Amino acid sequence: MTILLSESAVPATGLPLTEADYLSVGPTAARVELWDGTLHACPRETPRHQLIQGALASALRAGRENMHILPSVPVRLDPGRIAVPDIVVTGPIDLDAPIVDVASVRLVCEVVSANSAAVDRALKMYTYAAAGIPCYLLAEQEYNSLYSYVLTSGVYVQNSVMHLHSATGLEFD
Amino acid sequence: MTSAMIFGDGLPMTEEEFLALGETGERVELFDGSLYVTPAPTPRHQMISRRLANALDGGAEDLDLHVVEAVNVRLRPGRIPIPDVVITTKINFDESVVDADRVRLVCEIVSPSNAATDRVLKMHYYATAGIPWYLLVEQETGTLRLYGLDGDKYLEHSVTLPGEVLHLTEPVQATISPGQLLPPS
Repeated sequence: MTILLSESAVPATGLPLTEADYLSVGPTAARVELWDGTLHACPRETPRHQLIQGALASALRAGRENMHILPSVPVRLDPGRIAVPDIVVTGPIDLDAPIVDVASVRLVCEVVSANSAAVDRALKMYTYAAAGIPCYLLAEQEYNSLYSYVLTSGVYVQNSVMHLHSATGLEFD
Repeated sequence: MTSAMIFGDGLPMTEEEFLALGETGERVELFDGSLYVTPAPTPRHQMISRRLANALDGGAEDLDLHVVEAVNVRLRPGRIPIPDVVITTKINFDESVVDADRVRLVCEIVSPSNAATDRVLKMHYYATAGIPWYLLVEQETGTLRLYGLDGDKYLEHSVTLPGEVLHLTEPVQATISPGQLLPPS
């Protein structure tokens, strides 16, 4: 059996999956990322996650007139690594190129859910830093907090913590 | 099978759905509702895997342990990677998933330049699951990096470069040199 993530088959040639393979997967019901030759197909997020993501995107717009606030777009971290962060803040980019290059990304934000915790806190913490993204915001639903990290000598150092409620204006039961 | 069938309801993939995928040419792993798909491994990868398994086999047999390649390992419900090689205690050889509490050592064969998932994410998952030993083999050079579990993290135990020899004592006795694992150049 061959796994089909979309109408086109994921190739089984023994070679790592490339950016071209990633793009040929086409539209899917899954959020698809490429990590060093492996395709990660992730299910849709919950409405709660989307609410937080939306509120943070709005909050990030303030004072950033010359930047783009983009939810859920593919970002090329390096050849062979394409993540789809919850939000990125970028400088000027070609809005019609399907993948954003990490060089234009000023800030990346992930809203952590139970199923993404290890990926957001470990894998992405490491790879976003390795790709040189200056600032990483981690919204932790579990702790009701928004952590901000600043890239310092190649690693993320915690810069501040806010209550998620203060950052988003959202009340949760 | 289309994405509409896999994530058609938008919900995370369950273990039942994952195991129903059956045998695939690609390596397909389940992590907390997400599916990770890796193309079928190269001959280099497979040769290293077999030679490593062979090198561990004798020592394992002496202790009534088993060496198997590329089987589903359940780290916890919904988290099922397929490590390249594992050393296990007594298992049911006809069940398609091995539970982590049976696994003494897990090994991943990686490409040094691009193995963030194995080095960062899976290292975290295997440690959280309490697997005592994690061995990383670099497929270009055969370099062996052995990590031992300390609490809920792995600490580097040894690094064996080409030309050197790993005298493994736990969980099994084995003598492994990077060169013996590689295909002919």
